[in-house]
Amino acid sequence: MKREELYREIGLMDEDLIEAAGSSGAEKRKKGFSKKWVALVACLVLYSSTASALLATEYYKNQNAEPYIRYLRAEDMELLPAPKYDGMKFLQALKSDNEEHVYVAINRLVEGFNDPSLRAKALNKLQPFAGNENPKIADAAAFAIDILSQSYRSPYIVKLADGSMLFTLFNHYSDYGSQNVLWRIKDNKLEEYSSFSAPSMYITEMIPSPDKRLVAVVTCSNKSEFVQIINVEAGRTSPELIESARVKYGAEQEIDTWIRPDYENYSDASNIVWKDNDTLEFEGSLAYQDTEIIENVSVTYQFSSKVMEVTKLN
Amino acid sequence: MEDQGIVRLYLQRSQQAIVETKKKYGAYCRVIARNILSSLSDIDECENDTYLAAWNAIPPTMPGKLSVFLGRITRNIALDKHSYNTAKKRNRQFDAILTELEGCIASPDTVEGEYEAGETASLINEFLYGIEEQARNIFIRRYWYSDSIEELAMRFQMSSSKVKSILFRTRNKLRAHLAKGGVHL
Repeated sequence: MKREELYREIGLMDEDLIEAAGSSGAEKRKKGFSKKWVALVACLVLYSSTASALLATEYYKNQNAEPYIRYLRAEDMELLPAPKYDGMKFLQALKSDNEEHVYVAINRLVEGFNDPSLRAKALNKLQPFAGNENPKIADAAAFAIDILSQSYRSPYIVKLADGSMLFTLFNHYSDYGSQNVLWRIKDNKLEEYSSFSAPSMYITEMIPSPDKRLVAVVTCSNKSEFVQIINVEAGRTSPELIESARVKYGAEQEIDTWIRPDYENYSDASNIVWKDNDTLEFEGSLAYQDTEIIENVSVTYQFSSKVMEVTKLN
Repeated sequence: MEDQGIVRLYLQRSQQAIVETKKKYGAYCRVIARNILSSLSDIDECENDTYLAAWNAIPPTMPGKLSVFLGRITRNIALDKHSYNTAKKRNRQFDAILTELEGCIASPDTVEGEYEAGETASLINEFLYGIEEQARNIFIRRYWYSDSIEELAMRFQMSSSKVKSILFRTRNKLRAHLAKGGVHL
């Protein structure tokens, strides 16, 4: 099929879709600033000037003391203590009229797993939400109940060879995926195993190896996808595979390859499968030169030997 | 005038049908033509050919949604003119759109099989109904209405990069969907 023919075929699509797209979005961006932005900026200016005055006072007070900071933690940077998990707050939030608050509270209550009394209270309060007419809330409640009751039947849970379990919370809260934090239950204790940072804003998939010793974790932003293999028991993680494939293939094919400062790769992976207990295989669409060049390739990666092969797809 | 009224004029073979069509949809057809063609005379010609084609089509064709019916005619006429024009005369923005669509075709150089007109369209419909609304609207505005990236960024109030990446991902998904549907592109 030629591209012009595909363009014509697209022309035959459903009239309702065409009409809906015709009136979608805003025709033009409104010019000028809206009042709410002016008010927000004014509040920020007031807040920052007050904060500066307070900080300056503190500084002069402690001028004579010699500060020594060994490591800058997030709470140090905010001049505030780290917020502690407050399960009671989330139990209270279940009564809210705001469905978003309820949804967040349901998911956050899972973090109270290690406190038996909170776990029992949460299980009791969550039961009615499993039948909620909002499917997102119902799914979240069903999952939270499954974890807190230690049933572990949900397909969202990855069960590993060492007996531990991996899962995410806020499952599929976005079209792009789930929250970018991995939780693990080992020996009946819950811990935050790891979290991803931008641009890996969402976890889309977790694929365990056949022997359940490794797990491939697929994350994404709204522009790019990323794949890593984790040996949870040994605490080892592979390099990110899509960018690695992009760089390797780019070098082999002498394509001008750059890594963006925001680490977006504009590339993606599909048909991700384990060939054996140690080798992951996927089809990659690798983008180069601001997506002017797209290379469709097959990628295989052996975790133990760290060997990667990238070949052009026919 | 309402669309029903305009269609009635066509059925009555009244010249007023063309006048009313031009009044209500003239600008709309010109925008579609302008997104595909570069020369003003071609755009004018395309608009007038649209009215003639509509006059010849109605009856027996009874358009469901008149705007879409006219837009389709304009689109096809403009595409024919674009193909006929030499490379120098072609609209480069539209060439970029066609080049993007090549990404949905697995291999433009393979021997082409037979396909029935509309066969792929039903798979495209199925695909579009299955994706998220914003991505769907952006896709249709780009490949049906032939909006530029800048126009899409303004319409949907996002950056050009985000528009490009949404289109890129959607095209990849479409390619996979068409391949699954057994359409040999």
